[in-house]
Amino acid sequence: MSNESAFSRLHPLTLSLWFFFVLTVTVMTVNPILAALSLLFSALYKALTTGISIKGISVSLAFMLLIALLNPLFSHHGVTVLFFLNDLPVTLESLLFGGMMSLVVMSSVLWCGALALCMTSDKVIWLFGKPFPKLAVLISLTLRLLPAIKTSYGRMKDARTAAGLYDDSSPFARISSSLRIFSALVTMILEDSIDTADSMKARGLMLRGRTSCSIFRFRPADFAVLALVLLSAAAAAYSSVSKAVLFTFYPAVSYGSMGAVTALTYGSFALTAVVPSFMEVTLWKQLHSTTYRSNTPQARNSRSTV
Amino acid sequence: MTKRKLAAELLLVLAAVPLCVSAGSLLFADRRYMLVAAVIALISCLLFFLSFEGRDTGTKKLVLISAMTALSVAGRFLFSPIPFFKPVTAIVIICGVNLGCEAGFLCGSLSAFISNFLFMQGPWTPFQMFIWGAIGFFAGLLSKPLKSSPVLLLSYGALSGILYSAFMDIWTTVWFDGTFLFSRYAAAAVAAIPVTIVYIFSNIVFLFALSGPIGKKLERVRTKYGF
Amino acid sequence: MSFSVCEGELVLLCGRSGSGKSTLLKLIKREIAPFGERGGEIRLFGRSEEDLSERDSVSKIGFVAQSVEAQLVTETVWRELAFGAESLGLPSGEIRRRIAETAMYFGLERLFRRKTATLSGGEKQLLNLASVMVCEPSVLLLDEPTAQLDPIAAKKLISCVLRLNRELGITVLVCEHRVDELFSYADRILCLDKGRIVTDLPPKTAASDASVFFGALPTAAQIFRRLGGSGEAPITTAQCRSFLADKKVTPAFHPDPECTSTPAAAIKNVFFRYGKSDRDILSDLSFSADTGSVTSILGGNGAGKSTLLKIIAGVEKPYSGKLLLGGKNAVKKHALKTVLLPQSPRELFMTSSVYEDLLESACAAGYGKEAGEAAVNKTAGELGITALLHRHPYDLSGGEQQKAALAKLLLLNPDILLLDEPTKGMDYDSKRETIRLIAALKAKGKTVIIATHDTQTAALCSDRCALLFDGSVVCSDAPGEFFTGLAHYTTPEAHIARGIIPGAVTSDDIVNAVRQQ
Repeated sequence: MSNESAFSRLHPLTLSLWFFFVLTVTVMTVNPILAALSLLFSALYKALTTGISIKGISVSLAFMLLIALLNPLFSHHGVTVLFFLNDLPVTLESLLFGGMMSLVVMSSVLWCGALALCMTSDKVIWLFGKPFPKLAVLISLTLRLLPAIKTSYGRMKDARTAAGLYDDSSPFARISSSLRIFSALVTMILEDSIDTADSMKARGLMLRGRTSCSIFRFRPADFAVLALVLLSAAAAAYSSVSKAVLFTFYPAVSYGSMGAVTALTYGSFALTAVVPSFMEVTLWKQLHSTTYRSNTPQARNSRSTV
Repeated sequence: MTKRKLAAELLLVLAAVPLCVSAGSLLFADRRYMLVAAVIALISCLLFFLSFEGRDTGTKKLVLISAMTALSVAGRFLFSPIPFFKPVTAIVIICGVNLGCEAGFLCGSLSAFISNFLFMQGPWTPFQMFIWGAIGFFAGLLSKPLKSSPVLLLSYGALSGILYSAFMDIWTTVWFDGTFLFSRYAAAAVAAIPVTIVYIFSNIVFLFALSGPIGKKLERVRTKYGF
Repeated sequence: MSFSVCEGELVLLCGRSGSGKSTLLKLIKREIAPFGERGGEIRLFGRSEEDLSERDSVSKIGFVAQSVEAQLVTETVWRELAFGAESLGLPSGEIRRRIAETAMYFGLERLFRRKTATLSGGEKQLLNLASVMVCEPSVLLLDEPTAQLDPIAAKKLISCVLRLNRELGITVLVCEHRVDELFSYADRILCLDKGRIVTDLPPKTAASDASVFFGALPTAAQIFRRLGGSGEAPITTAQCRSFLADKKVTPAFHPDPECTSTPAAAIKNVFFRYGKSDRDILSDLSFSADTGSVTSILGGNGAGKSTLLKIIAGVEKPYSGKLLLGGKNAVKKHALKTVLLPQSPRELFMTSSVYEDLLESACAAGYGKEAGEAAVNKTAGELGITALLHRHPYDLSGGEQQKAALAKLLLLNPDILLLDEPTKGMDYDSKRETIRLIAALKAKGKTVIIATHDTQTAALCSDRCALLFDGSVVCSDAPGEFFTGLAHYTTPEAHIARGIIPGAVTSDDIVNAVRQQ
């Protein structure tokens, strides 16, 4: 597969636990250091996989700035009053909290992009397959139907365009033309579903004791990543309970002293979050081509000759 | 399991979630309840899926649910040039009304889950799964009146648009702030008014245009192939 | 009816459409047996059907239907292969072994991790067959498995079925109307008529038996029967060649087609690709179709036949080159009305009755209400579908759907009709009917352009044939010259007549050449 990232080669179980941990910490944290680490590594991973553009960066920065600046307008906690707006105080703490939230929101969005890249439908179905075999079948069939619907829609539209029956002269006409095709598409999909049901029954969907096959293997790398995730999760949980990484904005910014536990929490989280980027850089090193998306004949030849 | 018992059980699950969320927001003036809400939304979906696994659903019904889900997800793409004007809610309602509570919930929650794979998966997915699932579930529960009166059906569509928007605004507020600030919620809700209007409008348009035909098509397939 | 099939036999079921072939096959597979009243008994593996356990019924009897797409139930190839074995509750390791082995046997290794949506029709049907074989059945029921495939993919599938029968000893019951390859390899030919078995004979005897209807015979036996041969009928090309070898023949004569002055559609040096980074589908293609003529475009998969039709129809625009309709540049505006009949005609149906669909066209063509209804009735009458007007389009047979779709297009008063694979998956009778329809369109003065894989139909109905390869036209000629000029990609009749009857490309040519002596 040409557009496979190194990280996504891990076992779905490892991947899902990794994403669960990193996303939970990212979404939940009020600690600016953790949020900053999360943003740093999510951005790094995006740069290594799909690449980032100047335009993308500026849009993201503007978005983050907006979140940071909007917060003081709604939240008036905090002791350091900067100025009054409509008789309401605008505080430094509130501004800082907004800045921290912008890190959280941005890194969540970036990690979710990474999730979409790595957790392919195959892996999602694996996750559901064991506890919910019937649901896995349902999801798999839906995913099979989607591209079929898309191509059928295109073909119906072509046939109607060719016959001059597709009117797109005005937005209203376009909507009604699309609706007409969509309705015909429903007929086609529903009528076809009977054959699909037959095919499923013929292959024993209704038999009891359905199992779920997997082509994924649990490799040493999975054990390593899983161990790392568990370690950082334990550290994060301990320091969260013992308030070692406590960071409060209101009424005034305050934080605990940097101890061994705090260092361990930050360190292990950073180590966990850097795993995808690390794998991306090291795995393909031997192939002399880090741009895994290039699938041109030249790129393929250069890979095979190395 | 009788139908009534099932409906009661599911209603309990569905009612528990918003209760827990609001209780959480009152008790913890903290970010933590954000996780509570997400986990509860997720768990209620998983509980539902579990009860679906335990029951005998005919293959044909399974395939029809899958077809309706695929159509609603595809609808999110096919009408993509027009922002927020999507048939998803309408199809979920139609599925619930014609195929029952369970089908409605599955169609709604899976539409959210699968389409977010193609659009953008995020912390909002469990909430979307929950609210769309609930819309489909109640459509199934109210199928008799909704089937008999087009006015009721369209009103239900409009109401779903409002509820969907209101619910997702709660989520936005919670996520951005960590706590439930009413001023922020009001601002979010006001900012979302144009979008909510498009939701209501699109639900009504799609229900008006599709509910009759799709209902007939489902009926035809069911009578022709006997189930 | 009663019949029995021995272990390891290959039985070919044939019969006209509606003779009950599909119903018979489905009755054997309990899970998908049609509803209705039943009498009699079905015995499987020496036991009554009821005694067979659910698990055995699923695994021991494999069923492949004709719908290529609708039979797929998952989104990736390997999951599709695993589906049946998962139902049987096999452990993961065992399933992995089975799907690996099956993928290798069917040559699906390269497709193993692909999405099912990205496969070609032939690959999809091969996957359908392979995923049934994962359950290791001992009986295989095939209901027109090649009906939606092009000839090359169909040959590949049939050769796979033959391998399963020869190498693994799997009992095969296949109903199929593409019989040229299967007929000679079958152990028995079972012919059905109106729900009864009228023939149950080995192929050689069946070929000369009058109870087997003409359309179910391979080309060789058809020629034999038309020439009134007696004794054992030839069923392969070689046998037919030796049957013809001692006959005295005259060379086939093809009259020169009359030349018309202006081409209805002409394409000059067209280049086309779907996206900037894609490859050229059409490159430097020039082509023309005369007014009031029938032109066939032949070529392999992905040669660009359908794309060419879309360009003429104005659905796609070339990035370089000219399209002339009626002598006028048509890239911006269509001077002549063109319509396109898609490969699956049901894509044109928008409503729940044929009548409403036809009325939609009539309205679009500018008829008023009453004039529109009259026009619908007239067109339906001409195409012989008056009785179908109030049926649901999806309840019609393939041939009927095509006629209804054609009626819908004809109501738009087109000058040029573009037909994409009009005979795909059709049985002998429907093919004849389609050829007759095309001739009728020509008689009305319409220009017809056909994209097809079907060399037999192209030879029978066209005035001109063009071979598309690598995005451009390699050769273009009248069918007589066209098909004698090609050595491999030609009609089965031309294969039979090569070197014996010069210039013969259709069975009419052969029959006339022999009769004239």
